[in-house]
Amino acid sequence: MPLFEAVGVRKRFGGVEALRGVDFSVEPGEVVGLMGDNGAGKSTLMKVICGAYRPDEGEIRMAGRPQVFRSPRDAAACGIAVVYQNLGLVDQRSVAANVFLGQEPRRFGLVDTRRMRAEAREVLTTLRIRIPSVRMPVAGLSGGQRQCIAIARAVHQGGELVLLDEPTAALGPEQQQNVLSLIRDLRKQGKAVVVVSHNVDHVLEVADRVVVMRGGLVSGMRDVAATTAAEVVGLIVGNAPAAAHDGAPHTSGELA
Amino acid sequence: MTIQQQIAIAYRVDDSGGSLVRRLLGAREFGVLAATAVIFLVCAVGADGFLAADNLLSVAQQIAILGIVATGMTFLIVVGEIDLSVGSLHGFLAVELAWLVTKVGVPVGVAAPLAILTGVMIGVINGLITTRFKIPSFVVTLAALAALRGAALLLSDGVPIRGSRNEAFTHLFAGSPLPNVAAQTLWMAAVVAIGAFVMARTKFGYDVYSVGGNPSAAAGAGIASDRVKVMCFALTGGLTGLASIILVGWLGSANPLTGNGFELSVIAAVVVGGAGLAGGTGSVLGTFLGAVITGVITNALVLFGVDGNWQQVATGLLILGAVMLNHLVAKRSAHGLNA
Repeated sequence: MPLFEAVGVRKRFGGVEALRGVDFSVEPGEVVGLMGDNGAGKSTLMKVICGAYRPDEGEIRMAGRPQVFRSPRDAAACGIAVVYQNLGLVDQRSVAANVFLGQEPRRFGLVDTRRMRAEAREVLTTLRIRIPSVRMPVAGLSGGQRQCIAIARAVHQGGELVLLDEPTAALGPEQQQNVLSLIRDLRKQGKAVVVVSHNVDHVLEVADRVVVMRGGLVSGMRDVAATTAAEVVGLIVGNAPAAAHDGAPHTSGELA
Repeated sequence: MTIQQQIAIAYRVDDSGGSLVRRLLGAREFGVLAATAVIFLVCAVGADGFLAADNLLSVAQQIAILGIVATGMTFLIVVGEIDLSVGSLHGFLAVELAWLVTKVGVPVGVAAPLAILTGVMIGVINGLITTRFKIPSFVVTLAALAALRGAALLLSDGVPIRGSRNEAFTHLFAGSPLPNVAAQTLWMAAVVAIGAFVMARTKFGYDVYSVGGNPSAAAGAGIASDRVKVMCFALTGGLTGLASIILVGWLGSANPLTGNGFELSVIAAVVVGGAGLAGGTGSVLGTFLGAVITGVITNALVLFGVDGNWQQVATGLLILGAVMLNHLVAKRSAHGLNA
C-alpha cells in the first residue's frame, strides 16, 4: 500500500485549472523525483500535498486512509514535512535551536537546552550530517549544511513523507553530493521523499521513480532504472503534440 | 562500533561550548562587556571619587528606570519591532498615577497597579495596530509618542502634580531596604534578572528570537508571530508603568514633561548592549551593561566637571561606537559559538 496517494486531484484558480486530475503516489522508503517546466503544476501539487492548498476535487490518502488537510499543520500531524527552498532557518540561532524551531522540548516550563542539544546531535548523527558543534549559529554554515539542517528538522519533527523543494539549487558540486547522499540515507531509514527539482541529473542519481508533470497533468512516469536523461527531458518539454498544453502563468508562483 | 564513533573518527564533534574563557570570548555580549570594563577603568583612574561606594550606588540608582524600560525594549527590538513612545508613556503614566492619587483620591495601592495596567493596554494597542494593519512599529509608536505627551499635558494642565505621601509606597519604591542600596536599584536588578531568564530559557524567549530572526521561518514552524510581538509591546508598556511608579515614589510628584527624549537613551542602551535593530539578536544582560555604560559615562562627565551639553555628544558617539563594534563582533561570531 502506498504511504501517500493523491487521486484525481483538481485545483482551479479563477478561470484556470492548475491541476486537471492528478494521480500521484509515493511508496514507503521510495524517493520520487517530481519534475516539470515552470507552470506545469508541480508547485501547486506540492502545496496540495503539504496542506497549503485544498484540492477542489479528488482525494488525499495517507497510508490508505482519506485525509482532509485544512492547513499545513494538519499535514504535518499526518507525517508530511516540507523543506522549502528558503529553508526556514533562523540564521542567528544555533543548529540545535533550528532543529527544534517552534517545538522546543520543555522541562518544568523551561526550554530543556541540554536535551535539545543531545537530540539534535542524535538526529545529525543518524543522518550522517557533519556539523562540528550544535551550538554554532546556522549563519556560519555552508549552503549544503544549511539544507541538511532543514531536512534534519523535517525528519526530527516526525516527517514520514519529506517534500524537498529544489534541494540542490544554489549549492556547489560537493555540497550537492552531500545533500543527495542525505536523501539516500532518508530512504534507508524508510522515509519517503519527494524531490521537486529542475536538475535531471540529480533526480536520476537519487530517485527510484520520476514523475513528470505538464499542463496540470502527470504526463509521464518512469522507473529511473529504465529511463535516460534525454527521455525525461523529452517528457518535460513535451515532445508529443497532444501533451503540448501550455501551463498557464498562474502557477508560475513557485514555492519561494 | 556505533555510528557516532565512526563519525567521531572522521571529524571532531564538540557540543560542550568549550571552556569558560572560550565561551566568554565568543559571547555576543563580549564587546559591551569589554567596553564596560575599559570605561570603568578609565573612570576609576581619571575621576576622583568614582570608585567610592556612595558614587557607584548612586549610579546604580540613576540607571534603575533606564534599565527597567530597556529590558522591555530589548524584547521588542529582538522581536524586530521598536517602541518610540516609551518616553511619553513614562511621563503619561507618572501623571496618571499622581492624578489618580491627588486629584481623584484613589488609594495608591490601587492607582499603582492601574498605571501598570494602562501601560500594558497601551502596549497592546500599539502592538495590535502594528501587527493587524501591518504598519511599521516606528510609525505607530511615533504617533503614540506625540499623542501620549499631549495626554500627559492635558491631564496635568501642564503643571507638575503632587504624588502619593503614603509612606509604605515611598518605602517600597524609593526607600533603602538595605544600607546604601536604593529600592529602585533592587527593582531594576529583579527586572533584569527575570527578563534575562525569560529571554534565554523560556519558550516565549525562544519564540521572540525566532520571530525576530526570520519571521517567515517562525510562521512556518507554527509560532504565532503576531501574538509574540503584541506580548513584547505589552511587556514594554507594563515595565514603563513600573518605571513611572518608581519615579513618582522617588520624586513625590509627576511632571508632564517627564521622559522627554528618554526613548533615545533606552534604545541606546539596547543597541550598545549588542542588539541589532534588524531583530533576532540581543540580550537582556547586554542591555543592562549598555545601561551601565550610559550611567557611568554620564557620571564620569559630571565628576570630570565637563559641561552638561557634552553628555549628549558623548551619548551620540557612544551609540555610533557601539554599533560599529557590534558589527565587528557579529561578523566574528557568525563563525564562532554562542550566537
